[in-house]
Formats: sequence, C-alpha cells, structure tokens
Amino acid sequence: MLEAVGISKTFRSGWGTRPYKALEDVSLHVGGGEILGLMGPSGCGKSTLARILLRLLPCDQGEVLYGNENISKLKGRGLLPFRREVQLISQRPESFFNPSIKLGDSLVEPLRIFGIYEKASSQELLLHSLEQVKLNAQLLDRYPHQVSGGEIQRLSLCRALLLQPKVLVLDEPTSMLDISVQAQILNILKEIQKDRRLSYLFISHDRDVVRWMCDRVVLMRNGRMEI
Amino acid sequence: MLDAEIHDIVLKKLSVHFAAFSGLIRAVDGVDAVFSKGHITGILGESGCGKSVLGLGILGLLPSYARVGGEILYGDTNMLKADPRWLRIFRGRGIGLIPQNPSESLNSARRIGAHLDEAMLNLSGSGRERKARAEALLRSFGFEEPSRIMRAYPFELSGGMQQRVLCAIGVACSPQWVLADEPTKGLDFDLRGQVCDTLLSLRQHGVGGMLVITHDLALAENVCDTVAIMYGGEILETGRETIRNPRHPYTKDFLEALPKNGMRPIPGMPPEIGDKTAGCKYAPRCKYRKNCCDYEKPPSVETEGSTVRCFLYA
Repeated sequence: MLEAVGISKTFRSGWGTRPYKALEDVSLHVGGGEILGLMGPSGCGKSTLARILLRLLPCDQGEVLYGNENISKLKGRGLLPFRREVQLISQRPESFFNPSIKLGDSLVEPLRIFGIYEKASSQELLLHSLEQVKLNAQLLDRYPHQVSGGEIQRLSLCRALLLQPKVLVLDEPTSMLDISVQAQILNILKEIQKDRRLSYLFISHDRDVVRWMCDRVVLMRNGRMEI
Repeated sequence: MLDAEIHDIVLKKLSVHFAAFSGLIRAVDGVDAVFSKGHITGILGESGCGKSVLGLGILGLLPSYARVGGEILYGDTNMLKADPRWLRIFRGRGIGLIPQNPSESLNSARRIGAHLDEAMLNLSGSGRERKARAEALLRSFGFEEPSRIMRAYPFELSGGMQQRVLCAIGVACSPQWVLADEPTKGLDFDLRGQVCDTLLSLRQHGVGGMLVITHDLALAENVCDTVAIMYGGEILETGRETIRNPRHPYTKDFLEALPKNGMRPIPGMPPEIGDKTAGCKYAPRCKYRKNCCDYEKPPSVETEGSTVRCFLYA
C-alpha cells in the first residue's frame, strides 16, 4: 500500500555546521489493512520518515511508492489523490486547528479544499464520522481551546476520516495524553481500522502500546532500521 | 526569614476555584493532605483533575483571579497569607520547581549558563562563584564537560540532557523541597529511565522532600514512596501500595486502562466544569455506586495502610 525504498535524508543548517544525517537507507512497507508499528527512541528519525512518506519533506535518495506509483516524482495536482487518501494524525493536534475558527467549520475545511463539499451530504458524513470517534455534535460550536486534549485528538481523527482515507500515519497520537484517554483513543482507532479496513503506520516509543495495537513492528535507531 | 528546619507541607480544606462564564470551575475542592518531609509523594490523576493547580497553589503562583480557600501550612506559616518577600525566598530556597516540557521551559535564545545564573540570583556570592557552583551542579547531574554545556543553547541538547539541566536549575538554591510537574510527559522509554534516576539522585543533593505531579504510572511506582490519587479536584486515595494494591474504585478503573491490564478506558466522562455534586464525584462512573454516594461525601477511611474516600470501606 505505502512503501519507502532506500530513503536517505541529511539536514544542512548552514556554513560551518556539520550536516546531520537523519535517515540512511531506510525501507519499510505498510500492507493493505495492516497496522505497522514503527518504534525507536526520540531523535532516531521516525517523524522525519513519516514526513517523507507523506511528501511533506523531500528525501535526498530513495523513493516513496503508493500503490504502484512513485509519489516522489508527482507534482501539483497530480498529488491531490495521494493527499486525500493518506492522512496524518499528529502528536499535537491542537496546532492543526485554527484557534479563531469554530470546530465545525475547521472539520469541513478539507472537504472545501478538495472541492467535494455539499452542505447536506457533508453534514451527514460529518455526523457519521463524529459518531465513529464517539463525540457529540454539540462540540461543533466550540473553539479549539474549549475542548480537552482527548477530544481534540478525536476531532483530528474525525477530520481525517471525512476524506475517506486509505492510510493513516499516526505520529505518536497518544504520547501527550493520560492512560485513560489513551485507552479510549486506541480502542476507537482499532474499531475504525477494522470497520474501514484502513492501513496504519503507527509511530510510538511505548512498547506496551505498540504490542497491543500493531500486527507487525519495525525498529529504528540512529536513522537506520534495526533488524 | 525562612527557617533552616525542613517541615511537612500540610493542606487544610484547600480549594481553588475560578469564575468562568460557564460557572464556577472547582479545580481543587476541599483537599486535606499532609506531604511528609523525607518522602517522595506522587500526585496522580487524569488530565484536568486539578493536580497542576494544586502544585501552583503550593508554589504561591496562582493567578490573582483564583478564589483560594483553606490553608497551606509550612511549619507555622500559612503560605496563602504569607508576606510576598517571604514567598519570594521560599520559591527557590524552600521549594524548587522542575517544570514539565523541557524544550518549552528553557529559553531557546539564552545559553544554559545564563539560565543557571538567573536561578541563583537569590543567593549571595559573586558572578564567578555562581559560575563555579553552576559547573559543579551540572557535573553532579552527569555532565562530563560542564563548561561546554554552559555555553550551549537548549536546542543543542537532547531531551534527557535538557531535563537534567532543569533538575540542576530546580535545586540550584539548595531547596528543602522539590516539585516536579509531569517530568516524563512526552519522553521516550530511555529518557524516562534517565529522569527516574535523576529524580532519585536529588535526595543526594540535600532535598528534604519531593512532590511529583504525573500521570506516568511507571514513574510513580519506581520513584514515589507515597501516591495520592486525584479526581475532580479531590484526593480519593493515598497510600504506599496504591498502584500495586488499589482500593478506591477509581484507582482500579484508572489502572485497567494500562495496555498490560487490557486497555479498558473508564466508562463515562470526567465531572463537568462547574460540577456541584454533593456526594462522591466518581459516583456517576462507578460500578459500585450506592444510593448514599449521590448526596453524601464519603468519609476518609484508613484501610491496610491506605486512606480511601469511599463508602465501600466506611
């Protein structure tokens, strides 16, 4: 479904500073309907790899394949289907919501961007997605600062689901939450994955959570895959 | 002046309320507790249960619009009515703070040396003496080249190194107590281990007592002598074996959310803002709920080394 082949990435911060090799010849494959766990300590390159897989960051070497297509070479409008089908859920969802816009409007914004917003059907879709993430429609009238950490993470999941994605890249989605809210969100994620046959790349540094959540796990250390 | 003797921190009917459009937010609601010197006490609970507000209350850092009631006693001094000059000395020498989120707690435009120097301004001595003390402190927290670290900016250090720098700042004035607020939040497994070791090593720096505010159960189990469980602004259970042998229904449900215990979230929602429940705040989510739980506050009961506020043990 989503594959990284021989990805390398070096960051250069300017004259006189040593280049920093973030990723070196990294390959992984997320199969259809699979939950792949990506584990490793802070700073090992997990989030850099996620950003390269999402085409948010260019890589120096290697390629990203989605289906049979080389995503690294796509540009402009050619990227739109990929952007819609592969969605990111981040560690800090609050930074993905405009603080001055009500949550209801923020949630349907991607539908407007992709030109698929129709008032009646979109509202129905929104209510269905809200139900899947076990949230009440009353939240739609609130602003991001008026909801809890667990609620805003579920809202960011709801927004991703509205676009009918096939792959979710979950970058430490529960690392800032307490264990009860974490359990609630991970149970919801598992239910949705089963229901919609989604593929997940689940990035975490918590062994117990990864063991509970994932079908298969790969390990990273110092920018390389560990075998 | 702050006396040299280390005292227990005693909370008597402490309440911290905030007025909001949606009603009165009861962040801390009539808490009675004794945090004993010589012990590391963990304050555990879900997000929004009031544990950080309790910590800010002890530090005297609550905003002026907070409605504070009850007493926070340190020796004979009620810290809520203390002279601001006394409080200024107390913060730093009486109690040092290790804040959460190291990368955001350090100013990325200032070198580590400047952070440490600022923390020691309360102490007597020249700049050169403060620098020597800062280097000695960094060395005692495991930095082999303290002078290089003093010249470094926060973003040049790893998360674990930043956490150790914050610990050094927290104990820079040799405080009698230390308050660590979510010291492992967002850190990976290796770094959590480092933080546990660092907190335990604070005792060797002369710290007489410690409060650790956290929702990290592993940290509480490995570091704390006593654990207090908070829910809806109240302490529901306190004890030495709270995590291994929970008594209160909330503590049991909270622990069931761990992956190794089946990852079962607590059913229902935490109490709403402005909740005025006359009885037990956990009653609406509790599977052992009795009629009396709805209209009567459960008494504190001593049972097998724990203090529990629940009618099950009354």
